[in-house]
Amino acid sequence: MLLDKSILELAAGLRQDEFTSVDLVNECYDNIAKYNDKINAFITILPRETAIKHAQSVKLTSPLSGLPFVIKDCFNTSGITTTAASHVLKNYIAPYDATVYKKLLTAGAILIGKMNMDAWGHGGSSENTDFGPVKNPWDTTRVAGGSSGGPAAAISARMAVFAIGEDTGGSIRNPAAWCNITGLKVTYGRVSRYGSIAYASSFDTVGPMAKTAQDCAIVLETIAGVDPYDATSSPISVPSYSTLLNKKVSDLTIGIPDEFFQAGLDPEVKTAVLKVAEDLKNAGAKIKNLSMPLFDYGLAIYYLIGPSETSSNLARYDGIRYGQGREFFTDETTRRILIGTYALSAGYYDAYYKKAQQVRTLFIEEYKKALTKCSVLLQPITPTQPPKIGELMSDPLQNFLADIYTTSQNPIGVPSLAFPCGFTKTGLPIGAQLVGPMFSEDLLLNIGYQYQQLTDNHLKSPLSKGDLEGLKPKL
Amino acid sequence: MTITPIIGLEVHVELKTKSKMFCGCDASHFHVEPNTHTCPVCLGLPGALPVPNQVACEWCIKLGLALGCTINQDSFFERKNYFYPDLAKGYQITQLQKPFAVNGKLDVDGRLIRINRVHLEEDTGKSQHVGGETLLDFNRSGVPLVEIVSEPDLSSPEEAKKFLIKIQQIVRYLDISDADIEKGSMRCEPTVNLKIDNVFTPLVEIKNVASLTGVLNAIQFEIDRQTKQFQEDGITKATGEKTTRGWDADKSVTFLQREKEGSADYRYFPEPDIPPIVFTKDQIEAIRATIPELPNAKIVKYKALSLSDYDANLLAENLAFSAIFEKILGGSTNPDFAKFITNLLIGPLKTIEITIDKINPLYFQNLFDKKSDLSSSVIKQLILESYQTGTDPLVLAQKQNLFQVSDTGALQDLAKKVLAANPQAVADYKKNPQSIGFLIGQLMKASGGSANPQVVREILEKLLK
Amino acid sequence: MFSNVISEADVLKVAKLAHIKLSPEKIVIFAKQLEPILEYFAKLNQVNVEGVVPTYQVTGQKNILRQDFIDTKRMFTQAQSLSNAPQSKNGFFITKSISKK
Repeated sequence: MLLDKSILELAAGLRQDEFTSVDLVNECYDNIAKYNDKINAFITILPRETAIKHAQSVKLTSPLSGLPFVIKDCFNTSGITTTAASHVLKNYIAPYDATVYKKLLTAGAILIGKMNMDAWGHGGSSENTDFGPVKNPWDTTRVAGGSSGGPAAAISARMAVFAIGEDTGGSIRNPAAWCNITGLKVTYGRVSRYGSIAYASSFDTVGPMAKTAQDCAIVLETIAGVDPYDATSSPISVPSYSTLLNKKVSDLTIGIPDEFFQAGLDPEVKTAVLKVAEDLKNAGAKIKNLSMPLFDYGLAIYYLIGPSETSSNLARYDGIRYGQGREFFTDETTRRILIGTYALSAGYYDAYYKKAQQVRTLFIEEYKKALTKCSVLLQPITPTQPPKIGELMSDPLQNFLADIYTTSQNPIGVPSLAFPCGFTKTGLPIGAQLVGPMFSEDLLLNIGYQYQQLTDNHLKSPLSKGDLEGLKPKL
Repeated sequence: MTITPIIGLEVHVELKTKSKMFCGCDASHFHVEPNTHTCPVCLGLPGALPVPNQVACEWCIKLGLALGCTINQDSFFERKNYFYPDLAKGYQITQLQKPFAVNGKLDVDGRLIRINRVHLEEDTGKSQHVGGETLLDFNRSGVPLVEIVSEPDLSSPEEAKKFLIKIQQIVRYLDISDADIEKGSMRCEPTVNLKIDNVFTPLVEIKNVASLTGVLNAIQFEIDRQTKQFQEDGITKATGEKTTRGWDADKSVTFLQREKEGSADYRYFPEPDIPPIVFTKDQIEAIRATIPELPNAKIVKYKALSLSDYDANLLAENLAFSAIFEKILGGSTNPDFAKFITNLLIGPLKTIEITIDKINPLYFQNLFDKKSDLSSSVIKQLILESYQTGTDPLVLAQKQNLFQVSDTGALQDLAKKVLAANPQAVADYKKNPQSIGFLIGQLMKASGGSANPQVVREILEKLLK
Repeated sequence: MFSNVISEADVLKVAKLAHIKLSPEKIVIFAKQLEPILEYFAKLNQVNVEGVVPTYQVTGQKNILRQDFIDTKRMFTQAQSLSNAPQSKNGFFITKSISKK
């Protein structure tokens, strides 16, 4: 399958006339036709003819030219419905482009879909959506993860070459882990948020999702950079990430924070994640155990600050200038708005919101300290294997606790690479994350690439037997 | 019963920047087709982000400095969360904990009125209520506003009005806003209560005051109303509570809008989309250096030239006018010359539009030197013509033969003729010396209006002795 | 410092502030669901934050400002402004009148 190839292979193939961009588009749409009904990854599938026309006219000016991609439906794309997976925006046709989308169009990439997600980013399973849950391509009775479940499932099921997701508390990393793909939560400010529907303004990051770290590196080169329309975007220059993947890991120390590997972590997940350290050690890296005692508080600060900011960000949805009324918010979204409003309200502001921001300061110091003892931190992404559909939604507290490993990085701003590191006995994907200092995407992608030279988890596809149903335990 | 009014003012001034506060939309909105100066940011579209206007920040600091404030070198924006159809994002980006400027003061006729803060925020869209519907125009959404909050130091409606006029003058001097109350580029909300003997009446905030007279009348009405109300119910001020009343200019009354509200819960928090703003001491001094001499200082200077309160205030009315006066005055400290210029500026030259580059100080000096040879009406005529044609007024006077006849010999002969022709007037004069006016008029007429009236009077009086 | 019980009155008050209409049944359900979550936040009481400055954003940046010029590329036409309006008339957005602010 063409879509099994890496971005570099595809770019070379296009230029050597082995196949055309139209061929790529057709393969994507064939897979969409075959599998999307079972997976429900798309909210809007762009018309096939439009994509083909685009593919026919595109000039191969950049590595991403002619490559079909999908984007989480929280990004404004001019002339195309943009819903954030909520009926509040059911009929909202974006009148402007998100910066990240504009950059990809300029690079000649071909948009084929707006993807299903947890509405407004509120969730870790892509079930909090008004468009039906996203099913995991590896087992369609289970969730794909969230909130960027649609993009992850699409990459996994070979419906697009790469995707753009958004991570506020694990939303790229969680579905990457459960769908067996690679995703990058960038440093806060590395990629412009202009045009990305806000969840938590000081946490939200925009990032690439694809089959490999190398693919993510190529996409990141195109989308990163300062934007005059986003005052929080960073002016730090953008490295040529794809040229920095070849350093060996022997100079590096992998830190293992003990608190992240305690009770509550599924034993199969724990084993698979710790094996990453072993594999890197065999490649010459050093391992170091260390302590991050504030681990216990990460979830609380995320769930106080995030909802506070979201309660304010969602105030603009009054159904007057666009969209429908606030009665269309789901229960999960309503709960988050209520929590946030409560935390900011008179009498509670100091005890909740302000206190969380103070603990955030302490967390920043703790991560800084930990990262002086090692080059990167190895952490699990999810405490469990992909749950059955409906399991998390029935228990708001469980749902909340499921984010435990991915909610401390966003308040700090540090980047994290999520990548496949194994499978459960029953053939479900397991992912791990490497967390580095601010603006260390080059280091993370380098290690990810080196790891992916030594392992093959990332090469496995749920379509190996040619059909989703055929993929169960045997791999 | 001793009644002392306690008045505070909250003033909003719309800055005349080219673009809006947080986006690059055209900030003009007066007589503009609705919803044509908008973009994702000021329309509050999903995914839009604010980026602050540097000039607006500088102008807010400039105004703070002009009002004697301390500038917070570290400042930041915050979100004020509330719902209203004309508030596109469901929150207003404003300042709370760290405004640009705090703790200033303004001298209003010798009384120092303290300024609590001067901060920067964005305006809302415009709502029009028609029938049961509200029409919304977002052209004004996001326009920069400076908010000036006074302490409740004002003690009368007149003082409040004067305070406003001074703010308006200063803002116009700084050239940061038109500050036109009728057009809405300056808005004002008085808060009024009374100290009656030893207790205080409840606080009332008055909205919808749309003119300077409105401010005067609304505050006076409130003072009277609160006095009556207190006499009826004796209810005193409760901490943190404020009632909102609207001013109805047609009926000249305030009416209840919102009863006893505690401070609304706006859930302020620092704006996460905008990094903090730091102005260095040097940058602040650079802004201070662009502030011209302000009205109060000019008025002091003009009064030192023996000009009256009234004249000094008129000249300081706006920067352009005072600049013209000062250009003409040059380095002179002569009070008579100052008065001379003033009379011409607020007299004949007020009837036309004058610009400073067409003003030639020498012409005024010349006229002043020769003023005893010219009648005052002639002087007024000459200065106008001189401005319009750019010609030296003395040259004009010469050409038109306007110099007054002071030649006493010729006048003596004319006077004798006039007296001979008016025996009744002479008789009247003998009975009542005040009636000399008629004879003066006759002699002036006979001399073609060019005689020096003072000289004419002296000649007649001598002859009539 | 944290109240361990969020009352239905609290939920109603907060829903009003957030402009969200809740049925009486929903209020009861949410109060029950939010309680354990708010209790979880009590964990933060264990952290000593004496003298710690809050972090409101992590960019470390300052003075990201724009020059004062008109950005015509980004301005909408009237039609674009109104393109998603559920109701509009004569160039204005329309909504039912509510009480004054």
